[in-house]
Amino acid sequence: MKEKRKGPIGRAAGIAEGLAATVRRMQREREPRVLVYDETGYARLVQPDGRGYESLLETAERMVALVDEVETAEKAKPRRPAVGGAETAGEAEEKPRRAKTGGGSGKPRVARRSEAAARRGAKPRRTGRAPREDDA
Amino acid sequence: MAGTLTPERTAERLCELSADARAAVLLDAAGSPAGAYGLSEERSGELAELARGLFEAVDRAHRDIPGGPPEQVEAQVERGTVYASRTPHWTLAVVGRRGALSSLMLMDLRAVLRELEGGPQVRRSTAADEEGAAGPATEEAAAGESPIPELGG
Repeated sequence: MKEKRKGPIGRAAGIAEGLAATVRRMQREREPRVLVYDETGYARLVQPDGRGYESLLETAERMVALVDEVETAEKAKPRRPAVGGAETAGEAEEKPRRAKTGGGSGKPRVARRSEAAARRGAKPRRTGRAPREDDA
Repeated sequence: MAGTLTPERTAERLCELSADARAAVLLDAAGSPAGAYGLSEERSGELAELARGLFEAVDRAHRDIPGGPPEQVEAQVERGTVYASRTPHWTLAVVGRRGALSSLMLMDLRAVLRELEGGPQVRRSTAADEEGAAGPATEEAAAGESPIPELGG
């Protein structure tokens, strides 16, 4: 059977339904859950109101938090010595950051531009207003 | 080759097998840590303590659940998932990433514990076009190459 062609409202509704289903699925996946498996591999869901559920979740959360903590501490350690001989992340952090724009020559941008133009042999750009006849 | 895996290397072996494993700990029958990977020594003691507590909580919860005694447990929380498996001699617990595939992780746990107890070694396949990796010529050899010990020879 041929599917009925949808209009713009129908298409928009379809997209919204898809999005809603995705959000619901993501929420469901994020929900904590506990499964136990017997020796045959048969899985049983531990019900949230069941005995030991809270304890199981709390223990699992603490295990994950412990590993998170260790990984965060590992990431904070520098993998190679920072430029300038700083050996720890703290020392590296204390160094002043370079400006993200304007380069590092310490000169104003206009001056650097005219220097570059001079190197290329180009005419210097006019920066002031043009002289008028009545100026003289 | 059976019997080559030591308790000290077991947790590391599991983390080698599974890219989603972040840290693992092995406990002996008395509940003492026998090996860990991914954590410092003092932190692995904490993880071992928690792993022991996990199965104690499982045994408490099991009274309300029909079926045989739980051998494996999977607990998904917000920032990760904990998997644990036990045999009469060993308990192996691993903290995995949130997106880890449960069936694969549980299979790896079983396979590594089986290897530790003298079972067949978990073999990692290599790509056919890698240098020196000759493909299996016979069906028997191919079965032996299987990374799943149950299917292997």
